[in-house]
Amino acid sequence: MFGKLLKHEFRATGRIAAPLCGMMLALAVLAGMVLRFWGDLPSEGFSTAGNAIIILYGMSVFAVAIGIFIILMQRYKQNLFSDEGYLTRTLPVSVHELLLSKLFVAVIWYLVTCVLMALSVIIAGGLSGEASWSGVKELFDTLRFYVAHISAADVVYVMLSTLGGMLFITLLFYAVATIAQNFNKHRLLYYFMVILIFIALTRLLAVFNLIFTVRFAGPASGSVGVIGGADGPTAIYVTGSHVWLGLIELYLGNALLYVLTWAFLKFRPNLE
Amino acid sequence: MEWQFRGDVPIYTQLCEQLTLAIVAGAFSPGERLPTVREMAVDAGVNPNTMQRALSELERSGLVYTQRTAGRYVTESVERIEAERQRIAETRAREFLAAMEKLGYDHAGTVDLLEQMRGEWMQ
Amino acid sequence: MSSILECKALQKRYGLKDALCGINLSLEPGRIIGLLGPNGSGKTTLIKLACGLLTPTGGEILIDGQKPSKETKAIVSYLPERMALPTWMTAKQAMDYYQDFYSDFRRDTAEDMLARLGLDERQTIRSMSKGMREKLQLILVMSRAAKLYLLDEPIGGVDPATRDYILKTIIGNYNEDAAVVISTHLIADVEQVLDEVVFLRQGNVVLHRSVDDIREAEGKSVDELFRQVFAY
Repeated sequence: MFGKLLKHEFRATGRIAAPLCGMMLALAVLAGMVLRFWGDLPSEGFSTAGNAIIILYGMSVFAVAIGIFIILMQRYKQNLFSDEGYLTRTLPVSVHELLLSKLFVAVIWYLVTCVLMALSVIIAGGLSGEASWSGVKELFDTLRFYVAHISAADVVYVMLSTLGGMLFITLLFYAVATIAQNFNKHRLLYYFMVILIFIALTRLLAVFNLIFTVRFAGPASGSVGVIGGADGPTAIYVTGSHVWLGLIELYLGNALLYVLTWAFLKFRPNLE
Repeated sequence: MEWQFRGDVPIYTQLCEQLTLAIVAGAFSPGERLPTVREMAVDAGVNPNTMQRALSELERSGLVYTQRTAGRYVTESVERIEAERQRIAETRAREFLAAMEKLGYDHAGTVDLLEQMRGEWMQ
Repeated sequence: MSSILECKALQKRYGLKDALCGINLSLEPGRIIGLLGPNGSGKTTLIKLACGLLTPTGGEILIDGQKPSKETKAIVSYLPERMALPTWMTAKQAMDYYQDFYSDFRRDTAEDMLARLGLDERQTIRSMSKGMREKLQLILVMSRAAKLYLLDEPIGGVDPATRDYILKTIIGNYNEDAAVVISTHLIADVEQVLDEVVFLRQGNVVLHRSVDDIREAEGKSVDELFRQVFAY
C-alpha cells in the first residue's frame, strides 16, 4: 500500500511540478543560446527578446524553487482537508503510511528540484560559450575545495542537517495546517499563537545551546565554515562536538512535529 | 415490463400480482426461463430480497418452478396458467358486479348494459 | 457477532450540541437499509463515524466487530455527499486509483458501466457534467465487492431519470452478502428498494423496522409514516 501511495502522490504532484521543471530547462537552453549569440544579434528587436528570455529563465528558476514548496503544501491541504479528503481518509491505509508517503515524496521533490536548478545553470552556462564555462568551472573548483577540506563527519553533518531542514519546513507546515483544522472559528488567533510559541521555543533553545556550549564544549572547540548551495538552505557548518547538539535538537523537533500531526490526524480527524 | 406500485400494500404482494398477470397475459410464455432475481429486481426498481420473496410465493402457487442450477422457469402446464387466468377473471368480474350494484344496477340491468355496449366493444 | 454495523450508546458532540445522543443500532448483512431523517438529524454524522472520518465522543461503533481502522476501511465502500474525486483525474485514472487501493474493486464491472453510459475513459472529471460526475463516483463505489456500502444522500438533487439510474445501479451491483445503507430525506423515491428503515430524529433512533412490516401492519407507505412521525 505504501508503494501505491507513493505512486499516486508522485502522479498528483508531478502533473504540475514536471511541466514547471521542463519549462525551466527549456528556458535555460534558450537563455544559453541567447548568451552565445549575443554579439551577433541582428537587431534591436532581437536583443529585447533575448533580454526577455534571460529574465524569464531567471524567473523560472525562482518559480521552481518557490513553486515546489507551494505545490507540496497545497497537495497536503487539498488531499487531506478538502472534499478530496473524504476519498483519501477512507483509504485502507494507516495515518503513518499516509503521512510518511507525503514526507518522502516532498523530500524527493526538494532534492530533484535542487539538482535540476543546478543542472539548468550548467546548461545555460555551457551553451553560452567559453567565457562562461570558466565560471562554471570556478564553481566546481570551489566546491571541490570545500569537499577536500571537510571531514567525513562534516559531510554527514551537512547531509543530515540539510535533510533535517527539509523535513522541518515540511513538518512545520503539516502540523500547523493539521491543527488549524480544529480551530475553525479562531483561525487567526491560532496562527498568531503558533508563531508566538515557535519564537519562544527557538529562544529557549538558543539559551540552552549557549549554556551547553560554554559549559561543556568550550568557546573554541571547532572550526567554522560556510557552504552555500545554488538554492535552498545555506548550511553553516561548525565542526566539533557541540554542533551535533543542534542536529539532535532539529531531529527531536521533527519527531515532535510528526507525532503532533499524526495524533491530530488520527484522533481528531474533524472532516466536516 | 411496466411496473406500478401503491403505498398501502407490501411491495412483494404487488409484485406477485403483477408477475401473475404477466404470465397469464403471455408476457412470459409457458416453460420460458425467467431472468435472474437480480435482473428482475433491477427491471422493476425494487429490492432483490423483495423480488425473491415474490418469486418464492409464485413458486408455492405453482406458476413458476426452480431447476436446481439452471434457474427459474414459468410452469409448462397450460392448464395451470389457464386456471389462474380464470381465477383472476372471476375476481375482476366479481369486483365489477359489486361496483355496478353500488350504482343501482341489478344483474339484468348490468347484462343489458353490456349488450348495448357490444358494438362499441367490438371495435 | 453477525451484525456488520453496530452502535453501542454511540454519542457524537459538536461543541455543546449532540449530533448523536447515545444511539444503539445493529444492522445485518444482506439487506438494504434506509437511513431516514430530516436534515440535521445525524445521518451524515453516523456515516462519517462508521467511515472513521470522525471519532465518537462516547460509546462505540463497530464494523464487522472492529472499531473503524485500516482493516474496516478495506471492507467499507463509502459514497460521500460531495464529489471527492480530484477533478484533474480522468475516469481511467480514477479507476486506477480504486484498483490500486481496493482489492475488492471489480474493474470490468466499472468499465462496463462507464461504456454503457457512453463515457470516454480519457475524459477528465473537470470536463464532465455534474450528473456524470455523480454517476462516475457511484459506479466506482458500487464496483467494489464490499461488505458494507455507506451511501450518503445518493439521490439528493438529481432529476428523476438520474435517480432511477442511481437506484438501479445500486440494486444491480451491490454484493449480496453486504449491507447497503442509503441515507436520504427523499423517502418516497427509495422506499421500494429498501428492506428496512431507520428513522433518525435529532440524534436519536426513533424507529427501526422492515418496510413490509410497516406496510402490512400500518397499511401505509413508509413515506406516509415518515410524514406522520416527523409532523411538526
